[in-house]
Amino acid sequence: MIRKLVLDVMKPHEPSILDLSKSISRLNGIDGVNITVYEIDRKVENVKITIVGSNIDFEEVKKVIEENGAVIHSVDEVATGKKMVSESKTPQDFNVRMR
Amino acid sequence: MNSFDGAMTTLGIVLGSYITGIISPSKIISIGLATAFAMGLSGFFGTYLTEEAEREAMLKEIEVAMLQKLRKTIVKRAHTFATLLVAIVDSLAPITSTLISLSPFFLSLYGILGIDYAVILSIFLTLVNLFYLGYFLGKISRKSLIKSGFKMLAAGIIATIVLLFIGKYG
Repeated sequence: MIRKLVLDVMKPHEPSILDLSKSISRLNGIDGVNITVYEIDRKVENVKITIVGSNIDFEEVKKVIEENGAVIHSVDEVATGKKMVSESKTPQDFNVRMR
Repeated sequence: MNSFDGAMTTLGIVLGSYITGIISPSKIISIGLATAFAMGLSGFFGTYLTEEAEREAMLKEIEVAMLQKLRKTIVKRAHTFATLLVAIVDSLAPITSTLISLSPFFLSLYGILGIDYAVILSIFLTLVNLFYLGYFLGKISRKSLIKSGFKMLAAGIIATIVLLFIGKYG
């Protein structure tokens, strides 16, 4: 079962991220939604959607996103299983930063 | 603005009928309602076709930016709804203004009001309606409400004076 999803999404300005987040949060198995805008231009905006829940249905989420005129560019993070597992830091992550 | 057209057109019908001697309330009502219907129809189709074309262009721009079609989305449904709503409002606006101006003639038709008083009351109601339209526009544009009201009222007063002048000396 999917516990966490992080999606890179492109959407038109309307409907707003308020409406989109409410639409996604109404789905079964979803406990919370966070939408952050990280890029805006004249017609569209790029947002990061973070969804957490007990049993997220990806197809339903995709359907709601597409119904609101948005498109999923990529699935950037996913956590599945009984426990929520965060990304582990490795020495390679620190090396990249120090350079 | 279609409300303004409806009010001014009906003012012209009422004054034109009066100065040419058509003093039958039923005839004035018939001419007025026919004109209102025509303006309503014109308002609906004119607005619907214009809005549809503009919104189609807007939608295409968004589709190009999104690199995907939006035909089966809430965006398209919202555009369609907005187009219909604006067209309906634009068709009802002149009809409402006309009915306001014609209302005294309905009273005259049933013998409640004399025809001369009906004409005077109709002109008065039309001028009040014009003032209100200007007042409403002033509210939207956040300018002086009374000044905006008087600007619209001036149009009605000018029309009344010119038509009465034509009737007297024409």
